[in-house]
Amino acid sequence: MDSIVLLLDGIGNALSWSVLAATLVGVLIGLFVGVLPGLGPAAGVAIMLPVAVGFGGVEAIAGLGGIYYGAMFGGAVTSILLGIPGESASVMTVLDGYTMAKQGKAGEALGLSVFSSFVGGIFGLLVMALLALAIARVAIEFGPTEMTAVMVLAFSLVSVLGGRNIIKGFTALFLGIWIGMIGMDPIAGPPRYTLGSMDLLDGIDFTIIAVGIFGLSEIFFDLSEKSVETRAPAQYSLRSLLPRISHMNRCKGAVTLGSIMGFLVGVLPGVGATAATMLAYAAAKKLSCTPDEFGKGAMEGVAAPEAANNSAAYVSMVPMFTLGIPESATTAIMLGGLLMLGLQPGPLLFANNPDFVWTVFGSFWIGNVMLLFLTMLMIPLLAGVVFVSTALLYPVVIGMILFGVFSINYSASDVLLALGAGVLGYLMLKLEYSAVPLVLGVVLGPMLENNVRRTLILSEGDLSVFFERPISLVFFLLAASIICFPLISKFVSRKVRWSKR
Amino acid sequence: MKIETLDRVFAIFLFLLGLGIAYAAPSYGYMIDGNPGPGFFPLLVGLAIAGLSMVNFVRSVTGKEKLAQHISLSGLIKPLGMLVVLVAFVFLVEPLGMILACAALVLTIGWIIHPHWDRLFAAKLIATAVLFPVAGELAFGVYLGVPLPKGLLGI
Repeated sequence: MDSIVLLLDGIGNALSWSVLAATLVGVLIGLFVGVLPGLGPAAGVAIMLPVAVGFGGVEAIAGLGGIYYGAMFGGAVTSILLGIPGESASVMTVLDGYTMAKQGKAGEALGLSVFSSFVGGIFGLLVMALLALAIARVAIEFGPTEMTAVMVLAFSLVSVLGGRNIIKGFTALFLGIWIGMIGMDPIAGPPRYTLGSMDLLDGIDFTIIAVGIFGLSEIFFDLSEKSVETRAPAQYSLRSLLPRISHMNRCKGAVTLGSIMGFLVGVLPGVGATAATMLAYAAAKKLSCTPDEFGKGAMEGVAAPEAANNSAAYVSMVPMFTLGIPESATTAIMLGGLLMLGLQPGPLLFANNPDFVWTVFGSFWIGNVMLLFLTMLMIPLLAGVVFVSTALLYPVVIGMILFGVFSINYSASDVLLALGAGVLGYLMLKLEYSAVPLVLGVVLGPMLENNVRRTLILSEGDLSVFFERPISLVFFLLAASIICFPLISKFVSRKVRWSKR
Repeated sequence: MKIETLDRVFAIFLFLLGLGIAYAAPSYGYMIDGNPGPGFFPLLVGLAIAGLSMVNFVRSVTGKEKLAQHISLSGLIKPLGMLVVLVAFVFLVEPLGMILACAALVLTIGWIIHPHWDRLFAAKLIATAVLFPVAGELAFGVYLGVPLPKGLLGI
């Protein structure tokens, strides 16, 4: 009940003009980012991070959150109108949404996607508010030992977030940890790996890395992969874009199922919204009276994955706020944003900055309502963005990156660092190194180092202290099981294959 | 260059980087008063990067690592062109100022991406090159108070 009261207070605080404006700008940018096939929510949040942080506090995170869930809404538009998913979590929407559009039901599909996204989002927000406080209350007892265990647990997620090749995932993680070490040592003081540069004494700003790794690299990759051209506009009637109550009624079961599935999958570390949409689609088909219609333009085939991806997007922020564990690239960048604002994500955030946390949650709630109306109003415009030539779009995006990066330290040399990160990100994309572990390493690496060294100083070098406290022991065991489970299952499946031969 | 060759070159680069990190680490102080010093973590991280990169190299050489991506020189022309323009921007932003340098950047990148100019596209690109830097100056320079470079012309 406390959570509901705090959330209502947060919504009240988020109704201030500055937070409303930040949320509005965030969701608008998110909608456009979601529509663009080349850029996902992670790239959108990374590109806007330096700009958002300039506005400070609640406004920054409200805006970045708006980009994240706005992209989730926007991704469905191109999936339905053009059969091109704006971002990975919209892939399942293509199956029935695009088929409906080809049958002349684009408006119905879009209306349903907006309605389902809204309901899924509201469900995810409610769960987020209820879970966050409960987890934060337990986690407030954490000391450096427990925090070390939490960091190790976060790093163990590389085995699920690290892409196809776990070894490359861990290579990227350690590379990120090293990048995070560049600069003055926070405990003893000597500069490390600065090559004598005064600019590097304070370390490399996280935003510069994020902008390069997720923003510039995506643009380099996109340009190297295809010839740039504009597409022919799709035909649809503007009047048909309004949702109908009968359709909402028909899809209420699929929406409920998708919302629950989004919560269950979204709260799991490293699984993500895309997996939630796939499971929701499969479950909706399994439970449907007319499973044969799926893939041929079933309304439930649009409703279930759209509800799931929005529910999962909000729920995946729970571990970020309560434990400081990012579950995806987007939440990793937002975690970096919190640190840049001088806020330490984790249980103490709820105790020390309750106004901040609950106002941000309130802004998410308002953003979700804004998106319901904005998406309906802006669908024609959003669809039009897809037809804007990248030759006009990318120079503007790069220009925004340059203004943002320059404004961090008022230094043009930061642009060179961002370019270096962009080239590294491009190579990683090409060579199938996941960028998420690298970002995890940059953000959490320095925290892990500090906590380990502080713990060992307090325990006078006794390593057993990490395993004596029950909470840290549980986290270490969880981390070990997360790392070992894929290895064991791989070993078992290999043994089965050998025995069959 | 084949993607597999690039994969091996990158693995070797990371291997050498890892060795370099580990080599430099003890100079920061491995242990201080029996506790981990500033060089403790870098040593472990450097060795981990070197070790894992060597495994990646061996996997690539033995054909265990199969990459789905391809790389071609023609595909690299546009990203490389953009990279050159961005490096040039860094050196030109002080003498030209943010507005002029950004306008030149928008025009050049637009041309690199879409080298076949027609009148309509040229008009749109020029309008973008004029309006966007001004909007950026207003948002960052005026509203956020960022001291953007003014250049020799003072704009």
